[in-house]
Amino acid sequence: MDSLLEARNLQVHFRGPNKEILKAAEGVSFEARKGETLGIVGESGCGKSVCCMSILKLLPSPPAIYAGGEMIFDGRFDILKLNKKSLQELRGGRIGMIFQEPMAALNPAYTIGQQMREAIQLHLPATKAEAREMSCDLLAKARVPDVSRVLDSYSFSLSGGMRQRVMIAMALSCQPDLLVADEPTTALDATIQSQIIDLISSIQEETGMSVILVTHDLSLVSETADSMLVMYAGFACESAPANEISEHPLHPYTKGLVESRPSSRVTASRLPVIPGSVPSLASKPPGCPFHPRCAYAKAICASQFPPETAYGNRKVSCWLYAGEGSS
Amino acid sequence: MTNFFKRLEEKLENFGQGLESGAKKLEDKLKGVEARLDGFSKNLDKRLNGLDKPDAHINSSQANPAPQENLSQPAPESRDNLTPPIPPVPPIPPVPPIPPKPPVPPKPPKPDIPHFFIPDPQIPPTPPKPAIPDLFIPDSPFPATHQAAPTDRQAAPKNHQAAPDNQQAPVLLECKGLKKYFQAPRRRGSAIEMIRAVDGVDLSAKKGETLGIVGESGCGKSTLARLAAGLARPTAGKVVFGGEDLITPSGAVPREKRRKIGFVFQDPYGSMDPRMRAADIIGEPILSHKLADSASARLEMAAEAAEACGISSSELFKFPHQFSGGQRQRICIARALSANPDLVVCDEAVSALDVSIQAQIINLLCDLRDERGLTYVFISHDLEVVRFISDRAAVMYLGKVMETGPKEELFENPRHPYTLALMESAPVFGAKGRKRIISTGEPPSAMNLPPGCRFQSRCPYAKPLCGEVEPPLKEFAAGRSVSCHFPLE
Repeated sequence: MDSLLEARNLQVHFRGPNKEILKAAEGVSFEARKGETLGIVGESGCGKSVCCMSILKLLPSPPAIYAGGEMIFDGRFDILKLNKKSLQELRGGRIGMIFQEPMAALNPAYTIGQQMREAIQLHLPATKAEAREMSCDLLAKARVPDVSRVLDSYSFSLSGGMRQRVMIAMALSCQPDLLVADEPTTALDATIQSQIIDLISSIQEETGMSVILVTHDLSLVSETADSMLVMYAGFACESAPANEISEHPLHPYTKGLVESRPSSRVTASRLPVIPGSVPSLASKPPGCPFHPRCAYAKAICASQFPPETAYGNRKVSCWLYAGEGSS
Repeated sequence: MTNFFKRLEEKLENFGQGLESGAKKLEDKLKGVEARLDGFSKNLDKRLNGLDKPDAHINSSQANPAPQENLSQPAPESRDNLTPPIPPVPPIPPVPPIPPKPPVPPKPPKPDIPHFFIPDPQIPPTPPKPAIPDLFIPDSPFPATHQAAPTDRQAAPKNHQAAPDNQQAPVLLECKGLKKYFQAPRRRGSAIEMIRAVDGVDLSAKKGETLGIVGESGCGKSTLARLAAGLARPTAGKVVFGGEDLITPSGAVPREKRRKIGFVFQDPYGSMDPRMRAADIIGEPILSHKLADSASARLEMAAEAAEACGISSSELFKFPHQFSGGQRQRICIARALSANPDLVVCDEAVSALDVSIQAQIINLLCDLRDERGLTYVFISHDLEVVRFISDRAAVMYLGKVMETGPKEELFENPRHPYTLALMESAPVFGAKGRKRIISTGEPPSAMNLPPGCRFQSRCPYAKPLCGEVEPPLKEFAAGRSVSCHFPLE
């Protein structure tokens, strides 16, 4: 399977209030293959949204510093080195994006129809009537009932699930090759969440696009994604095919995450927990950022950043596995 | 020309003099400030010395006696000191011994991965299992209880789920036909519309039991929580707490009953005063119920509650913004417990937290329940969390209870189509490509509910009867009730 988007050793930094450098992404690599779903999982503050935003170079820089790494799209060019104009063409054209809070992403002063037309006309030479017709089709594809009413209504008069459907329809308007979904269902209810996830995967089946799904919900990713990247405090702990991670997590953090989630499998009266809490970017411990919470921490973990070990198509960054592996 | 230069020179000279005099004035002022600071620090030293002596006998185990008096009312400052009073820094208590780390498991055996991973598009990969070192085969080294729990608590055999004595326990909280309607914002010319947030709920929780309430947003679970805690007046029906009506005929909740009910809110930061220190926040219920006769006694009680919740006494004088999300929720739980309640209502208490922190807080709640015999009403939209923590659970939809029962039976064998829909829609870890039954549509508005069953518009099993008659909540087995005309088998 060809890779559509490949991030290599991505480094995104921010300047803190005291001019210190905060490393929000520290050498993160991932790959979205054609027609597949990549899930990026992690707790809040782990840098998953930063990675997701830098796919389209959406983070405004002064505060953000793209300090290194590459974002190869389609095997041909590096997104991080594109100029403004080519970026504009890419955004919404070949790469569509869905955000967590659809209310904040939609403009309350314009009707849904106007906003969808804007997205279409930016990339395609379409008249007003043509654009409206296309929007109708797109909304129908996103299973929005009563399409013409929705087109003439404003974002605030729609329910949360309906807004997210509109966002999906807009992201699909130029038939993107890649859909980046940043926490698309976090603000939604359980039954609506499953509807939206099903919608995304059925559209993916139809069009053969790739999806990058960013979420904190490990179960959701394990159910929908083909491959998975687990992040912690700005570094990639583990990346592997999704079913392998759920069967056999390697990194202590992944294992901790899997176990600490209550489920029908847990029969004990207490949950196994990861002690401590996620460090802030400003107070990231030296060495492996996870070592203060890790039950397996060795002396070397506190001083040196763990190297990446590969087992076939799995990669894990942990000193427990250093010097082993197949490549 | 020369005149001009002369004038310029004069002006410059004047300016220089002005500068000099200004600098002198500034220097004088600086000296004054320094002198005052000196006086202040001497004063402080004196008072600190004075404080240390009389307090020493109160509680020698109390790690930081100095700030007890300064807890909520700063000690009167002498008038000549204009600098703002700085509370004396509490001496740092001895660091508690760090529990021994679980032994590092033996180094996993060297993996032996053959080169079968070359992708072949023709043949679906059926490789033998790669011999990846199994890191976790021995029993998990992650501590089984929340981080701050002393180790002796872990050792105590406390399997809450196995406790059978709940059958005989008296009922602590009972909701009878509870209703709460809100008036919707009125549009011009239209009739008054009512939002039926809670629409006839009958529930009860026995003493020592955890009642879980699960449902989607807008189903009335938070309103029910507020009604159960006496924070809102019901439109109809009543709440019976400990055998008596929670709300007296005059419309007030007696103080003694209020003390017996604690409340933990969803957003820990939003429910704390950012200008109060942790000790004051935790001590506030003690103050308002007059449970302590002095400030130091109050501090002691607050410190005790904080310690039970994993907040060490050295952190008691920090402000809410200095804590992490998980610690803030610990403070909120400590506050709910500081007045020694019988019932704690947790309204989405773990929903805003990260997965790893969520597990810590859930374990903390379980520990506290077992230690103090607390009764919980635990409200969440998260099915798995409710399933883990509750003894009995109720599923709510649009203001009504759809199904109740002991949690094993409810989640193993759901009878209401909505319970099934909720369970189906929750993602299952490791179930790649699971096919699920998805309920279509969205919940109708609580303002104009459809006639008949509330769920019929989304129910895959709806029949004509469902659109006409609203099904009552019927008990079909001991402790199991369902509100459906055609319950699932």
